[in-house]
Amino acid sequence: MLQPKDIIGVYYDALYSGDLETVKSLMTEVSYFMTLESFGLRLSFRDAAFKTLLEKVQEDGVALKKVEELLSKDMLSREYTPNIEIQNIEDNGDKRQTINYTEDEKPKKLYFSKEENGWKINYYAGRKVA
Amino acid sequence: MNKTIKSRRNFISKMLVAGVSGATLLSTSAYAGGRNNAKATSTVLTEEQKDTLFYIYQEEKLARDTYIKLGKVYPDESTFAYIQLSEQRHIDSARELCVKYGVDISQVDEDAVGEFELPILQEHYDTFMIEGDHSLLDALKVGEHIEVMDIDDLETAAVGMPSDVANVYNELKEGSLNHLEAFEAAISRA
Repeated sequence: MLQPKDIIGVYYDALYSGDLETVKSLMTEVSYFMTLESFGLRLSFRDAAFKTLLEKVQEDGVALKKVEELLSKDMLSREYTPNIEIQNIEDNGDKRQTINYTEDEKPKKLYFSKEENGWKINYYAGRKVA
Repeated sequence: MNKTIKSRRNFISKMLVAGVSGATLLSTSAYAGGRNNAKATSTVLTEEQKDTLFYIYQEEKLARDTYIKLGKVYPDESTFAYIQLSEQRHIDSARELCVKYGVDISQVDEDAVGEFELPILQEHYDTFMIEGDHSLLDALKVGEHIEVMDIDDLETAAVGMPSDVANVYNELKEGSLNHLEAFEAAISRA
């Protein structure tokens, strides 16, 4: 099972190579839709049709597939390969971890929760739980 | 756009026709509900609900920081300066809920304007800055986008919450509806 600290690198590689299928596999479903919304925002401002599709991804599989296709190309076109360095790991309970790291020397963190199919990025799992 | 936003717009239109100024609505309605409806009761939240409190708190900072920066880029456009003050009160309300329910927020630095440790919030902020930098009209459209996003998120977050939390989120949503009206008015002027 991949540990959270190992997932960070896989996540960045997949995200900026446009491999959204892998990105999806690393996250909870809710977090994946939040990722699409966030990283799709640039395209959304430039392209009204994309914005309309993005608004429908949770209930429309066709829209989701098209958004993934277009966003994948956009992410790849950014040609961004950040330098990621893990700083420390916080245990927030048996089933939660926060990984503190730097992205091009800027402090960042990702939250993880342990789901039935392994550790997943979960933007809502930022708190310590008993 | 959902029915709530449409009905709210109809309500504001009627109030304006009746002679209540938009400025009055903007300055009072978002927080009047809190004073009138505040309940001293609290309950036990599920872990999932506490997670929502924490995320909404972090998200409220996104709007304030964006308006602070865009207000500096377009100092002659008072909408940003005006609404950033309101957004600080939104942060205060969201923070108070976290404190009330024992949600640890010590790792969030409210003073670090434009800096977000969660990558998706940083991506949002960076995109808002790129878009807002193009022109005043684009910057105002960023404001419009943020408010629609906040309204949707607050509506979702309020579902299933105890009444005290739901009341606060509804008040914040009312504030965001007012902000949305203000940005739309500014867009029509720009």
